Amino acid sequence: MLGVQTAVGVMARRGFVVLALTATGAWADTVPEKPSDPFDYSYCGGKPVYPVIGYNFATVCGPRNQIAVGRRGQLMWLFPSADGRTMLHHGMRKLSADELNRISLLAEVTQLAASTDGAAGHVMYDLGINFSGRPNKREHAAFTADYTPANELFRTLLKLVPDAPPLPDCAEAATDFDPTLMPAQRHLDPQPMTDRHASIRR
Amino acid sequence: MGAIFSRFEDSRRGWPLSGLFAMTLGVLLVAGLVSPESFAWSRTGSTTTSTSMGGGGGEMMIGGGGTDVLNAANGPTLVVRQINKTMHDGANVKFWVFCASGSNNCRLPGPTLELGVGQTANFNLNVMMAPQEMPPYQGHTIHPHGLDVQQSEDGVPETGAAVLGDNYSFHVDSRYVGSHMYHCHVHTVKHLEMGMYGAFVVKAVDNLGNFVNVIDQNGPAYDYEWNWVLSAVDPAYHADNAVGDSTVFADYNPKYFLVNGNEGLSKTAPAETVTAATGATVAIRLVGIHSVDGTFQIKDASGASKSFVIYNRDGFALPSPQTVTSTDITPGQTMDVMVTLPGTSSSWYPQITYKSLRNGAVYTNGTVYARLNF
Repeated sequence: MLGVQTAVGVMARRGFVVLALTATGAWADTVPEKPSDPFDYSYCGGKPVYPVIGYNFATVCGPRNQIAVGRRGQLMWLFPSADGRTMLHHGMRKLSADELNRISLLAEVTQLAASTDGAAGHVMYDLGINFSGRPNKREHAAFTADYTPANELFRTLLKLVPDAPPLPDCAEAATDFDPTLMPAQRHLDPQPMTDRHASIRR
Repeated sequence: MGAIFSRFEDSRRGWPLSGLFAMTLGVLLVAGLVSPESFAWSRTGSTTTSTSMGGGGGEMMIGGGGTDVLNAANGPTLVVRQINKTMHDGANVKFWVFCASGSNNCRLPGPTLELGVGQTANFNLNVMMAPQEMPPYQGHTIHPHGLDVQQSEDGVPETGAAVLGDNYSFHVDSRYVGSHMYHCHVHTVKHLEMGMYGAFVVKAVDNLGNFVNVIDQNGPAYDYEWNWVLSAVDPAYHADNAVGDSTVFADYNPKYFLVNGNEGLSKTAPAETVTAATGATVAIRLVGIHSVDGTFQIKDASGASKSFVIYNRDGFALPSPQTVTSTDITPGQTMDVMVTLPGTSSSWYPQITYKSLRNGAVYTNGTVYARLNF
């Protein structure tokens, strides 16, 4: 019965209500779960796709850590050792539908919200979000306890990763640096952060 | 014996073997104590070790820019490193290249990957210490371009490939014997241009799993194998601020043209010089990673065109081989050709002329020469 109801709902959106009334449960189960809008970017090849999300984050003396979500909803993380030369933790896992729904919502809010670039911090991150067919969102920000959409998205992803990233206390004042660089490169980078990010920021 | 000696007359790599050493090596080869593929050599200060399986045809890989040759079934790990190249006009250009973990032989193009028919590829990508773009274009992948592999192994992030390092496992059948390529598929417009590519060669195998040196599954054998990785460089794409959705990527204006990572502006300054035995057959694998058009020819010292035979396009055998004196090769295409050398010593000049995709105009400095001594 549930299948028939679903079929009616789907078919109604397509304008085939009368046909749906004659559907059997078995027939209804074959109705593909895809949107009626052919321009809906949430589906590709009949399967749902999700925004690509990436965070590079580090403390100024710590390694470049990475968390990413792929188009098919796979969470990936790569946490190097303190010197950045060997693997400390590395993994992948397919997120559940509920987890992906929440992450997609947070990503959408983050994409729409104003960026908070420019602040110095002990943990800095570079965030990028790519929804198919939309301009990329990028943000360079400090990770703090304050609520911002990007911080909330980051906190959510961190909770989903079973390993803890190395974020050594560098005993330095809050600073602005590029977490996408390797630690040894950060002090050699001649390009001011504002210039580096202004060229790609939207 | 003569043939064996000629194959190991290593002057083709610029390092002539002494007669005594060559004879000793030849005896060891005949006795089965040394396999040709286990023989390591040194060229231009770097060590290149052939890791081909078995001793099938005993061919010699010549040229190739000195890049490593790795058996993709033996579990190699590739890493990504930044290198700098000084071009003919003194400009310094940054490249991101694949290299074998631990080899320190990081150069353009990346290592040649070889895989036997029916053997299972098993290679890894480690993105530790790798130069990368900012999110969401972070990370890298290896896309086996031209091989029909499972979606999970094809290195395409848009359909789910991991970008923070992965293992790649697949196998191919005999239809694929020939030349293919691999490249990073993350933000391809940037990463391909940055140098993240190499040749991927599928080899026929014998009953013992040894590579057999034939141009196609049923094709003729060759004595020498010469990879030609074709590429072009628009320096604007290599700048630090050419990332993400930079408007730089809206146009393509290449300035440098390469074969195996080298410019070769004239016959006297070729991209690569190799030596083969007179009368030998040489397989030239054209791997078109260039983002422009190209015309390949072989000419002698007087400029007369020499004929060669095309056996495969995109790694698939043609219905019948084509004998030509010139062939066009387009971006993303591969071609396997063979040429038989005359019985008297001379030099030929294989060359590729890079042309605009818009109007076919030859680029300034767009012809890259190599030299084949025999």
